[in-house]
Amino acid sequence: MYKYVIYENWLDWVPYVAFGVTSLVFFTFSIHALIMRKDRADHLSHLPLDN
Amino acid sequence: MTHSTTKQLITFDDKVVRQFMWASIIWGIVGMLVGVIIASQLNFHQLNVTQWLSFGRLRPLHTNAVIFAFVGNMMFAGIYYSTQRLCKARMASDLLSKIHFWGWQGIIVAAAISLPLGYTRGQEYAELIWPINIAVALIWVVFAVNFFWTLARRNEPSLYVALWFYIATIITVAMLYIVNHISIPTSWTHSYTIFSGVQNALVQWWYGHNAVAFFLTTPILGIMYYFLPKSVERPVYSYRLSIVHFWSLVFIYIWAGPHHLLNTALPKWLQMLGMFFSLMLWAPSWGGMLNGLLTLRGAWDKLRTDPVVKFFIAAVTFYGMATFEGPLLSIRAVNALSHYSDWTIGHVHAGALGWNGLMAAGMFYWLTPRLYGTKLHSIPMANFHFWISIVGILLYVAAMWVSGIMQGLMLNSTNAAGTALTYPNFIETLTAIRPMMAFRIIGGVMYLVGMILMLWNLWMTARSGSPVNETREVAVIERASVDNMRPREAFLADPVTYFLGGLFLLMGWIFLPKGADITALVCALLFGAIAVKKFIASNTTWAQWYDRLLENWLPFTILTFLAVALGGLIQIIPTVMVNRAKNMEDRIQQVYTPLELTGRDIYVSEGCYNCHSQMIRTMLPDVLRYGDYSRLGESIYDHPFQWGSKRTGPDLAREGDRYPHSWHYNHMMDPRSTSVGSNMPSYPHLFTDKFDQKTLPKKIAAMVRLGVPYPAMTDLEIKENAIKQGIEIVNKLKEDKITASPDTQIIALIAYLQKLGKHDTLEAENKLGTYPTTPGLIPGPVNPDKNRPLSGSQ
Repeated sequence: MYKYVIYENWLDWVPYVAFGVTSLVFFTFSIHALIMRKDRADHLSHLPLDN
Repeated sequence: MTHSTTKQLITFDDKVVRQFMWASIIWGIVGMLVGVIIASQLNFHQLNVTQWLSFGRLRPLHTNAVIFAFVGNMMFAGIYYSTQRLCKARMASDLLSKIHFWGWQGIIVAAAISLPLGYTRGQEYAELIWPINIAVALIWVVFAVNFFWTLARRNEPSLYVALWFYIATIITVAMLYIVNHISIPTSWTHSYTIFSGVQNALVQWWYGHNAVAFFLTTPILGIMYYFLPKSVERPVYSYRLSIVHFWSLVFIYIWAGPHHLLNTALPKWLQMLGMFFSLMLWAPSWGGMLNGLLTLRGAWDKLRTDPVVKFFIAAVTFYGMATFEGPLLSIRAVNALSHYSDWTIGHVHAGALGWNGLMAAGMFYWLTPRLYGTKLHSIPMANFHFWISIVGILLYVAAMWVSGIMQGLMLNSTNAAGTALTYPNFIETLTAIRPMMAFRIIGGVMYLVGMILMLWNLWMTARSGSPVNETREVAVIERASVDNMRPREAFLADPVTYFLGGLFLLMGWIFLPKGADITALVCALLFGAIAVKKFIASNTTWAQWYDRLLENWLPFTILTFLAVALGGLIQIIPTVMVNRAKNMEDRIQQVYTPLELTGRDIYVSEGCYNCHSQMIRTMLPDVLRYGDYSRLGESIYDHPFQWGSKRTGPDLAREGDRYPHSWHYNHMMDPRSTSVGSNMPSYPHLFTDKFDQKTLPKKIAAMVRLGVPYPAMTDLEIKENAIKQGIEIVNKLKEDKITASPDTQIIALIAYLQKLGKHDTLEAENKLGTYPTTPGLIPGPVNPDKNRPLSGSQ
């Protein structure tokens, strides 16, 4: 399966695929961050100060 | 969600925090002292007083001490302190905490003994020999069990940002360390890594780069997210930003390793991937930096008065600077100048001294009064420490920038026609940077003085108080209210399903044949539209998925593992599978004879790889200086690879047969006798010490197991072969009026050096002759893949 892997053109696409996956990760978690409730975010960001 | 309001008094285990803190400071001073010594050795070769204290053996001690002893212990102190508070629970097991502390110190002591003795695996930051590697893995498991057990017993439902970074650290370091250290032992002190050549280079820098990422960055970011808000008494600037930057960081970082191998024989697609992801790292790294700096909003006045805040903010600023510089150095064109030069050394120290060191100091100054129930002994002394450290770092980094750029420019400089080097003598470039190396010593000494002042200040603080283990009343939560997310809820939820589905269809768009690719794209767009519609209809559910994930440590950990594992798998699997001689391009490395293999082990043991590379890059100046550029097939039997990361001396990839045996003999006896102005140490012990014949058959057997095509030989034949070749070398030396014994280490080393660059050719000359830009052996376009056969020709 991998015998000719370094000679094949599809490897040129790996950076693009990687970029696509990264973008999806970024947008997925950006959406989650944006839709997070404000009170929840405030509560979580205060945890170290919660003595 | 409801939680019980039952109250309980708990006492945190702060003893282990104190232990790790003092260990970090003491090992930090030791590591930095060794740093000052090796920096001095580069300017004054006479300081290489014995074989145990020579540059090649001390340099790994310095890097390991600073990374694993100083920052490692600091990290554990911070994690043990903050995890208990963030989980509102004492560490799960005092016994595991104790085993962790003493086990880690034992490992450090073992490293401090074994490295100067020359016991090494010969890979940067992965030098420790295999029994110590196993101890590291076991102690790391002890730490992981204790940490995750504490998470499971926590009394705070949600996992705070700092804990996410700790989780990512623990699982990723385990993965990296285990994969990179897989070896076949040949004795209690020696082993061969199972990877060779390009595989080894890729796996090593996948590990090496991510040791920076997941040992020196993510845990310290976690510490920043806890201690910076505590010190300025403000919550983190943006919790939302922390979500985005955490996931982006852990996902992207793991891919960036190949940027250490730019312009080499590494396949181009991997080089581009490494560069591409390194550039993308700019965004999440600066997300963390901005989140740290902006946490100070409304409290900037503390920067004037509080040394703790000074240290923290300076550290975060250095983090920003280093993470700006890192992607810059990963650009292929910039890397052509910077790689193998002091610029990289300066970059690393901006991170280690600036980001890690200042963060550690800030944390220790904050912790000590609290751990001993008293006030800091001297604020002015802490302020002085701050300023002397800052000036020291700036001197150091500026010196290395100037040194690196100067040497890079000199090494790469050619005449206008590009036919000859402007500075053909390597020593010229070395002499030019000597003044900068002196400034480095001054900068390093200043930083070290600051550390000693901190030790004194904190020691006096501790003496003025007494150890305090904080007791706090916490609301106990019902166990069933957290950690109750089933796998189906965690991984078959809408966000995951739509993410993976969209990804699958996008892959179809890229890889399917014409016609089908458009269909896949249309399907992907439709799928995206459905996802948006679903999201609008039930965005609460989507938000709750992540909220629930934060209350469930196991699914969170699994998701983090998937994020960090993906990048490594995509890079490593094809590379590991492909590195077979039959698949190699035009050249196949010749197998080392038993004596040459022994010489190679001595070369590795003496730490020669710390100054010499064996990889001539696909760049015209490199080829003009060192010879024909290195091909992938020329190192397929090298366990470990020797492509190098720094050239304090010239590249040795084509060293074989360049000089007579007597030149190497004299060079090792007194480097100045053959290379005027050299800063290389002398190696007198090589002329009297015998090489190890006893374990040679085991070494050959290990090589055979790793796929190196040795002919069948008995143990006796192997030893006879070695001595026979030794006698041949000795006879040659006699012609130059040099007397030597055939079983000495110098003879084995000469045998190895004379073998470098020898290969069997597969139509190589025919191929080279077809290149229009090839006068002799100079490459045309800098594409390491260009000599590989086309797929149709196979």
